[in-house]
Amino acid sequence: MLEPESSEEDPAQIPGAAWDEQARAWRVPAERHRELIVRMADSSVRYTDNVQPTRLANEWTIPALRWYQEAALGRWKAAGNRGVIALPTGSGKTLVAIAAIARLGMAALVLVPTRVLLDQWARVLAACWPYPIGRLGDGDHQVAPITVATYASAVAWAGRIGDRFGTVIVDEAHHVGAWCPGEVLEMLAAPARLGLTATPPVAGGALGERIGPVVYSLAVHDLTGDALAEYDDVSVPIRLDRDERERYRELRAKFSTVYAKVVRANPDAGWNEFIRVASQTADGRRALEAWRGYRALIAYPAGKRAALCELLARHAGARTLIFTPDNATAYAIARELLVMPITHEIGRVERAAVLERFRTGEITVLVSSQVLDEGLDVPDADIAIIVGGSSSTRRQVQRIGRVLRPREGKRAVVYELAVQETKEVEYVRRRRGLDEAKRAAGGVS
Amino acid sequence: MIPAASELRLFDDSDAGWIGSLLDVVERSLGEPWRVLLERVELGLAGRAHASRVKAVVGALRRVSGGRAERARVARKVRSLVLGNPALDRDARDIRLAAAGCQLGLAPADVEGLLWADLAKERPVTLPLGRPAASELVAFANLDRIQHAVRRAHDIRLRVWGDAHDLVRTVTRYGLLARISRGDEGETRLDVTGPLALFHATTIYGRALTALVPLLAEQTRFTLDVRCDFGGVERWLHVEPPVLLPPVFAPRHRGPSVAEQLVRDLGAAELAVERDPPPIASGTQLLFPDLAIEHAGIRWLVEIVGFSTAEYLDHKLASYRAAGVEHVLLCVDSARSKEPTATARNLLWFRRRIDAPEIIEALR
Repeated sequence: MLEPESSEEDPAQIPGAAWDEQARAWRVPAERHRELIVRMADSSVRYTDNVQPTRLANEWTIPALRWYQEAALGRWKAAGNRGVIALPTGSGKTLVAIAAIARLGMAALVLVPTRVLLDQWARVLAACWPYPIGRLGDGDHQVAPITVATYASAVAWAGRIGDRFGTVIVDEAHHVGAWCPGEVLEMLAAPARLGLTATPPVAGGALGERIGPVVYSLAVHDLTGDALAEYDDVSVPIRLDRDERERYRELRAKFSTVYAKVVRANPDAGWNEFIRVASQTADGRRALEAWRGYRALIAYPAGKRAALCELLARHAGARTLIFTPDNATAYAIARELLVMPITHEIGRVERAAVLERFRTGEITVLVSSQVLDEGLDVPDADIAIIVGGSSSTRRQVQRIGRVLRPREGKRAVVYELAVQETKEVEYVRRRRGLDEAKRAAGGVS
Repeated sequence: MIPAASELRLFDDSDAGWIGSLLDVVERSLGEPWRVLLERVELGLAGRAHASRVKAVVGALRRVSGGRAERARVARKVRSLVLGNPALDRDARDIRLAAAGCQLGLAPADVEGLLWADLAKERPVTLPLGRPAASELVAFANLDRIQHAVRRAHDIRLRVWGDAHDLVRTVTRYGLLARISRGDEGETRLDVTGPLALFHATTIYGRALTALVPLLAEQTRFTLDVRCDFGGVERWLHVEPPVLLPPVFAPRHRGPSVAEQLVRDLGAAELAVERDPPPIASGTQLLFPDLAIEHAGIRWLVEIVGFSTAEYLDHKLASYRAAGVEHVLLCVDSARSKEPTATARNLLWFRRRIDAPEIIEALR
């Protein structure tokens, strides 16, 4: 709180300051705390500062950092302890964050998207730090000098505890501004801010504003054979049989006709607008049905069935993750091959039990559409079979990362099944094009 | 002043047409995953009813078809027995299903049918009691809509002509913030604070409030006015008979309430205790003490208060005083209070269970 009578500066001139009628005082967002302190110190303004994050005792047990983890931390420090570090899945981002907390020695809040990650972070931190770890989320409400909170709980708690931490870590930081609302970070006074992601978003936006720019970034190929296992990326072309091809063309034509008509009438219409317009007419509804129909058809046609069985037979006994484009396909594969699906509908306890069986090798195959993409500590796997991809490079990177945990003599294989003459091939081509472009632009940034 | 027209509309006979079409789609989808049914409903009913109304009726259908909890246990067991390493040919698959069937005493086809029986979108569509009547779905959809509004309410005004005993009892049992009074026409008026007027435990309080709604089905004459807020937009809901609501089910067996427990404990301490003494009129307001205790020749009234704010407690004590009752003790649940620190001679704070010796000490 700025007390106007004791201030020699007009509070209205302070960036972000607003008059709070209820408190009868000037308010400045917590994230501007350090900036404000510096400004007041420069102007010789007298003030009382009650934001004093706890100092952490130096009693850490942290494994040695690898070269790129040290380098990432160095860049982050050089950027004023602010910014985003982008490292591939499985390369040890968590360890980088823990080292950052330990070196700064200030109370830290770790924000994570899911309850599963809350457990994971709390477990890893507890292994490195001898004192209790606070937890906010999944029914827990304990605040400690090092606290892990889900994004959702942080929304409710940030206003109350935002002054207690000197460091904030945001895991899966590409969600800042969406799943992780920017307001959460606005309510935290922590001057040191570190974002972690496997897939750095485009510069700027809420992430840039609240955390800082990407200060260090490595892609999968920069670490393969070093911190990540070597892998082969194999495309498996799939052909539709005659009946499927005819059905695909028929459905696609039915959809395209209406789609083209709507787009001609509304050139700026996006996909949501198209759905809104289409669902208002019988023709439009038939087009939407056709769209669903052809997507379902290429999601898991007979050719993919046969290829999947062949690959599973070829790699029998190897830990394998099957990725599908949607839950319906995941359940279809699970039902056909009697393998376990991991979806958001499978409860936490059952999911943990299944992952444990996978970890011990009792079961060797799991199928999932999105849950395994990010936010779940999946045990080491050797083979990934992508039955249906999307145009999302982010999703692809997360999926590939699942089989890249290094092990002596390991060489992972990533199979991607793509139906010829359909959008799927285009997705693969587009992603590969992007990968090549990134590689050409130079690895480490 | 509550406006006569309400923006939130309940379901009635005029919805029977499209609900009938929805039930046709359901019958066509029997045995298929709910996901398929939902897609068909979305496309088949687009333009005939607003998506939110369709969603409410689908929710009612889920409720009517029921049984999810029981299926969950079986489905998890089936999955743990059946799902494992890939069965790459038909024989391997059949053998595994048959083995699980043997263990569970089920046919292999039934085992397969139970695999996703607990998953909201994957479980097969079934109508165990046959095709429900449109009116049954309307009743459950109405119940759901009113409860939804109540959970988002600023304030609720309920007027009941007739026996309001169960409603008052529910207000007391759940410790709702309510002022109960007698209206000009002899009706019972319940002015209940909505969750959005509070800043503390609003979700829990909102859930507790919904317990009032099913009881309306037993009232022949009532009016319910709810001022609520959906996404920052203020809306009104006005309900009065005729309105289709599901019949009131007998409540599931619950453990003794805080009051019942206290009566038992005080009885054991050999105090003369009267449960549910007659209501006390304070002006137009009615007060409902939970117990009357005879102690040292003085009759004490004890009211157990659940959710509370400081103003609410002040008002209650003032009302007792205005009714000429000096010997009153409010036992206030500190876990459901906004300011569980207020002190007054007539307040006794408790958590979960009221300590009988503490009461006796307070009476002294």
